[in-house]
Amino acid sequence: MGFPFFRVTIENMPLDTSIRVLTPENIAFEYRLAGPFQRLGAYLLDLLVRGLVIFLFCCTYSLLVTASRGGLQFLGIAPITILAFLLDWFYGGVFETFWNGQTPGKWALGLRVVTVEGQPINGLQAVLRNLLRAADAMPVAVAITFPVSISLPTFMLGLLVASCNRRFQRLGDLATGTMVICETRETAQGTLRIEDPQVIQLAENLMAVATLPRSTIRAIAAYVQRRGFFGPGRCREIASPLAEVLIRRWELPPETDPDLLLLAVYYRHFWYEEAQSAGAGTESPVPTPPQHAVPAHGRIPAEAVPPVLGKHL
Amino acid sequence: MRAVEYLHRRQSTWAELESLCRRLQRSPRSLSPEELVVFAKLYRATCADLALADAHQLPEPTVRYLHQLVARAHNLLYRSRFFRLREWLRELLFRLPRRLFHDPYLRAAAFLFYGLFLFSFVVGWARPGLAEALLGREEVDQLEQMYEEGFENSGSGRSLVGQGATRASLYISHNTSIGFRCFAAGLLMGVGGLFALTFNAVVLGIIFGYMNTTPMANNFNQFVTAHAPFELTAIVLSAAAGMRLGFALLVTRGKTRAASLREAGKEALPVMMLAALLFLGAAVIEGYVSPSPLPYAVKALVAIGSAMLLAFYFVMLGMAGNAERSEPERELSWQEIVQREDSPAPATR
Repeated sequence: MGFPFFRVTIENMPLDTSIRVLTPENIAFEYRLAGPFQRLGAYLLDLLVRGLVIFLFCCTYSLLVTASRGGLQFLGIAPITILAFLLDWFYGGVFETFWNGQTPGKWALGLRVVTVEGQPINGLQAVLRNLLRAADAMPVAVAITFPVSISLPTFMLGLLVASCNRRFQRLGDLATGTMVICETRETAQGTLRIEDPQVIQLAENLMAVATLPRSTIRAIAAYVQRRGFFGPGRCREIASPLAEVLIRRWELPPETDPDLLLLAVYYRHFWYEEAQSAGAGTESPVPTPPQHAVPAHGRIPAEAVPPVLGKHL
Repeated sequence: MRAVEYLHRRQSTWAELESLCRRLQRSPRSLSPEELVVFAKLYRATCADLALADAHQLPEPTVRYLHQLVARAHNLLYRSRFFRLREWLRELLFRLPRRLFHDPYLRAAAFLFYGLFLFSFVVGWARPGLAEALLGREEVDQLEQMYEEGFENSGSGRSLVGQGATRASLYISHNTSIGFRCFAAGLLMGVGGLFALTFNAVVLGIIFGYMNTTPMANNFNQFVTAHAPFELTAIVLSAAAGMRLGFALLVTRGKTRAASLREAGKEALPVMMLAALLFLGAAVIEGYVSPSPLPYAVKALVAIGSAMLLAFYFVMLGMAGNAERSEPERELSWQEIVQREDSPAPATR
């Protein structure tokens, strides 16, 4: 292995905020953890929803009282007080139980509560972690005492506890064994098609790409997919450490552009053979994705499944 | 197989899983049984793709896409379990009183609360100046004002029902919130719960003692008698539940602190729910019976009745499990545990 600086990337523990979950199918997939400030956004949204619900309820209730010509007046503010109390303590617990770990605020921001094993939470966990929010909200600053006392939860304790553990769990999460994760909706997939003739020309001459280790290919793929975010100067700077080694090893002309070389390696590895065969018009063109809707009899067409996967179905 | 070729083969499967996910997310019942089977199959196939992503050298964005697709489908396939009423009733009526009967935290909390309450009652009664020093002049004036009038002419019929509803709702929201906060504060190594418990016991005791030295003593006692048993017990229960949580962090019995806390959480929540129910009962009595013009004998009867109910719950239902519990628990050997799990559960009638 001549590329020691790339060995660090994948094999070690992830440095970012992702967490590995083992499914019952014995597959490990990764979740991205939600940080305290993402969760603050969801909390504020939930506060807004709660406020709206109370407001709407007050409106309809006063309309009802008016419509009943004072028949309902004897109830006073009792229904509003009860509703405010219930929303205050059980809003999160009930939503997280019946919406599979989401409240409206969490749903809007794509967050979800799961257990630390990555499983869905149950009612007990949902209710308890929401009751214990009162401990996380400490210390509570009393902002106004008249006419109604409005207290301002600072959430300093929750923030402190969450920043001291790996999963950003607040006290309520620690007591129930839950964590909040981010369900990202990514649509980007597949490889980039490169059509620059300079790259293709250079790729024609790179016979030794097949000897590169897998981790190097992965690093180059990561570079190619992100190089659009950088200017040409920065691209050259990032590409040159690896490109210089490759140029020396493959005895290429020293003035070869590092950025161009990495693009060529990427093209050669992911696209070269397909482009060749498609250009020659031989019997194996780039396979077009087979189109099929969900079949009524509940079986997946055989060609959708490569032979190695057949036994998993 | 080249990565590109592989991608082309599989992309339609993933797209199909994604569209099924989208429909499932909208409503769990929108899929036919056949489609659900397809969903599960597609999910497993995608799991396999993810497992083989490294072998096929799939590019990074695809791997990330697969991670999120599998996570999304996984969360739709394995869902949260709902409350089961029967399970909760069994917990509340059978298992909980048995646990509470042997709960050292409940004993400690009850001893501390009632002990301090009685002590402060005597002190507040013997030295009436203390209440003013502790609570401030305004607070004491307000208290005295509240009980200046008796309850003989506090309305009747419909208006009484309405006033009762308003009062009860305020008591529910105010007192139960205090209980929940007391419970949550217990998480801070038990200190928060102890503080709330001590504070309430001393303040209540002093007020009770002081009010009994004033001319309003009769009105005051008329008001507090009926709902006292439920409300005081509920305060003790919420503090005990909080202490159970907080002390689980200190006394771990060989488990990790996190595991110990999690186990305590499972036991403490039903206790807190029981306390919430008692707060509810106390609030209804406090809203309707306590301020009503009913004779004192009736209010005392309500108090005695609720105290008997509590005694039945804690002692009778708590003792009922005693016979089962007292049989010596010995360590099971591994063979026995395996045997027990292998053999089918005994048929229940």
